[in-house]
Amino acid sequence: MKTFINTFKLFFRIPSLFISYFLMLLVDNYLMYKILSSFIGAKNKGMVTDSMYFYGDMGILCFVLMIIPIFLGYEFLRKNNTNSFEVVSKISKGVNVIKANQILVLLLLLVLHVINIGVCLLIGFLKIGTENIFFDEIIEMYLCDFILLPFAALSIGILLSRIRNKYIGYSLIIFVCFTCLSTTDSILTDIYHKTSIPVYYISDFCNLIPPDITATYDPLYGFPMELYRVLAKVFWIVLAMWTEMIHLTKGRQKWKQYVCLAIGSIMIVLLGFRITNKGSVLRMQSYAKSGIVETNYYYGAEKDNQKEKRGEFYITNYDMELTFSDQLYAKVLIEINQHTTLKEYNFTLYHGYHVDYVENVNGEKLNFVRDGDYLTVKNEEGKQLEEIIIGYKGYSSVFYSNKKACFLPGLFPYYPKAGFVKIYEDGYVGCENEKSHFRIKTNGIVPYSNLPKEGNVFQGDAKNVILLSGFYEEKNIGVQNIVYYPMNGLSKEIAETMENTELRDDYKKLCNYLGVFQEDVFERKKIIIIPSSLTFNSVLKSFYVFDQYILLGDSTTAYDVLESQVPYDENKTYLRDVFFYFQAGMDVDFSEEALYSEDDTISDYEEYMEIHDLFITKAKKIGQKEVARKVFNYLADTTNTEKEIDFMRNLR
Amino acid sequence: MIELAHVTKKYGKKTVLDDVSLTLEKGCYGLLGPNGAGKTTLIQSTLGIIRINKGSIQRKKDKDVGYLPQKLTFFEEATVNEMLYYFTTVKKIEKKDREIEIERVLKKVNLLEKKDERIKKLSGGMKQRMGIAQAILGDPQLIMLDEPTVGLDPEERKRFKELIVNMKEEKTVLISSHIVSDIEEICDRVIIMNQGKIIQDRALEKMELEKYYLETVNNIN
Repeated sequence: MKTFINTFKLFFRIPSLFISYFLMLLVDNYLMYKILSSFIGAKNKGMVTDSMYFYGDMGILCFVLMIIPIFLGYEFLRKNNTNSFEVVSKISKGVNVIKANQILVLLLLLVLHVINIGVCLLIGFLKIGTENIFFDEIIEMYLCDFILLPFAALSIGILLSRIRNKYIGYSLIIFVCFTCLSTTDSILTDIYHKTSIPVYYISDFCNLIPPDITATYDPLYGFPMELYRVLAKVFWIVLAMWTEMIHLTKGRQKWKQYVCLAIGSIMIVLLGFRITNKGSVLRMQSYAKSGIVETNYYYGAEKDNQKEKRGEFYITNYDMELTFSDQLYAKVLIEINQHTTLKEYNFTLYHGYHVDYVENVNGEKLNFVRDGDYLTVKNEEGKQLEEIIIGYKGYSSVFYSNKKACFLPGLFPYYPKAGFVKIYEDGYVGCENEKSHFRIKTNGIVPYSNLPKEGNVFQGDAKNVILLSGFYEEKNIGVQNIVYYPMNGLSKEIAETMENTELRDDYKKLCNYLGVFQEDVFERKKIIIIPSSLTFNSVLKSFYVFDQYILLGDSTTAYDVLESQVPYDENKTYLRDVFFYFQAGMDVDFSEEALYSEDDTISDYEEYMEIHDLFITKAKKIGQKEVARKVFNYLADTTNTEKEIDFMRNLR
Repeated sequence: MIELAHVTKKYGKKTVLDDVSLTLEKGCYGLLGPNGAGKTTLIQSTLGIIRINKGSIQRKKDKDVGYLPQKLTFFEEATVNEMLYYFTTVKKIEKKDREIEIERVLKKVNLLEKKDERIKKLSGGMKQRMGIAQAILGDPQLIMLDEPTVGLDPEERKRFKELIVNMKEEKTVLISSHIVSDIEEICDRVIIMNQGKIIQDRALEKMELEKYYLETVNNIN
């Protein structure tokens, strides 16, 4: 006990150590106060989702909680390593108890701080109520980011304290801290894209502080509390313990050393494997495998990764078993309707899913070729093949699917779709197919879907099936069935006022203006409200109408609804863009709109610019309502093949 | 008694100890040799701090050893008493004896009045005496001191020599030094090393050592 007390006193006699410790207390308490005020403030205003933004502030808090324990561990323990205690204890065949006492003192100080933060959170709970939808998430966050983090950081400090050269030691501390920052991701991503060496794994191990979710916020997913983030912390703790054990057993019986070496190595390899193979997670920013970066890189590559070839068969029935664990595990039985027996069956299945096997109903393996998003099942012998079973696992970095949540829209091929289809068209995901019968059994989670549900089995006919899980709720308003996310005020409002929404009124007004028959697109369809988030906004439009359901963004306007009614024609894209840019010409003062032709800075007067200018001049000349109606009719008429530029030039 | 038989230690391709055989019994031994001769490696191998590649080393029980490394640093913010208390803990001295033992060694190295002084306030010589004090904590039978007189002033050096002379009757003391006069005055036997080998191991004939040592080393070089 005296040794411990002496060590405790020693800590507080070293100015650099105790000043750092008190600085950590001060900064973290201030940030905690700020965060809690924000939570409570947000709660009081009824916008609980917005409080999630304050998780960003926790990033700063956690950074402090990381950098100072690293420093404390390094500085305090380094003094021991130069003090020959280890040598003397080795001679005496004893344990370096001084070091053990130093570690205990640091642990005690960190425990006190962790309790301090725990008390702050408790006060927060009392204020916002334990009924809060975030209760479980905050508890997990506390365990992962506030308890494990400082101990992992301390472990890094202890590890680095083995390096006696102060300059190398501090350089490594700076490196580790820098790697923990999300800004490093873009550097590592660049290196990966240039060299194909997966250097981004480095940041997986240093991913100690919470990612900045404020930039790529997804309220449906909640906080990024994923196993790999916990394991990254456990990794450093185990590594530090292992290193100390090795030093402890140095010079002892060889078998002890070997046992220690073997156990430690196995644990570190297993942890490393699990950290780098993290499965489906919501990791954003510039990380090489994050949704936006990966999608842009894969589909924006010079080599055209996408194919288009219509399948010579129809899928009449899907019988799927989907297991949501660290990623999606799927076993899909497909029933095929075909005119003739084929030698090859082409499917589209997102490249993030690894196909384990393909077999027929008798369990006989079938050869297959996997090429990016495409799967070709071989039927070389030309046997009658009416059912194919495909087993696969994997994930998409945009459309997550794990035990915590899933977002698998029907336009995304998370199950095999007939033929070779382009997954991304014009930057948006859009992989439609013919109507089939679906029977989907889910394990791990019970998501929401457009299909009727019985327990964990979904069954029905549809063109595509959406599966959603996370912070969603389902409710019936009259005959209308709505899936929405209740934490957000706007979503809640949409869900509650769907019968008489502003959106419907605006759409009605717009239809009257354009003189088109107003079809009630919302009627008798399930409405699924999706939130605005960077990833979703970049790969999904804000409004979709399908045969059974509607995907509705929380910022959808009447123009988005109208746009969904206009079939996509690649020969009419410029005019379409101009038409919706001017919001169908409604409520626009064209006299104030500038013409490209009058802009001296433009040297190349392109077709898009001419169409833009023609829209303005014609609107001024023959009236904007008239132009809007004629252009809309032209865009909606799939039989009209006149060139868009000619149409605009000839518009009277 | 300590017995080293055909001890070889290599660092990579470099042989630092080359087939060294040595027997140490009660008394004071001086270990002389130029830099890089293998003196520190010999001491550390004997104490089991580093593992040897070949040969065998036999010595008495592990706890009964005192060692002063060539470079010994302390927690500068700790007091003399606290620092020595740490060493008593590491050396597994019984709790009840720790304070008494600290007082005993501090008296021996004449640092008792500095007991509650912070180490950062001590002079270089005082710190070296503290090092010697930690080496003799627990009254070990085998004491190995690597360059113990570095930083000591003439008065301190004299006191150190007295301390060793008083101990050598009952203990085995090995002093590694490059200062011939230190060895000459207090040691009974001298071991001269060069390039990892013992080139001389003989009883000390007073007044001749410096001349003899220089001649031996010069002849080899």
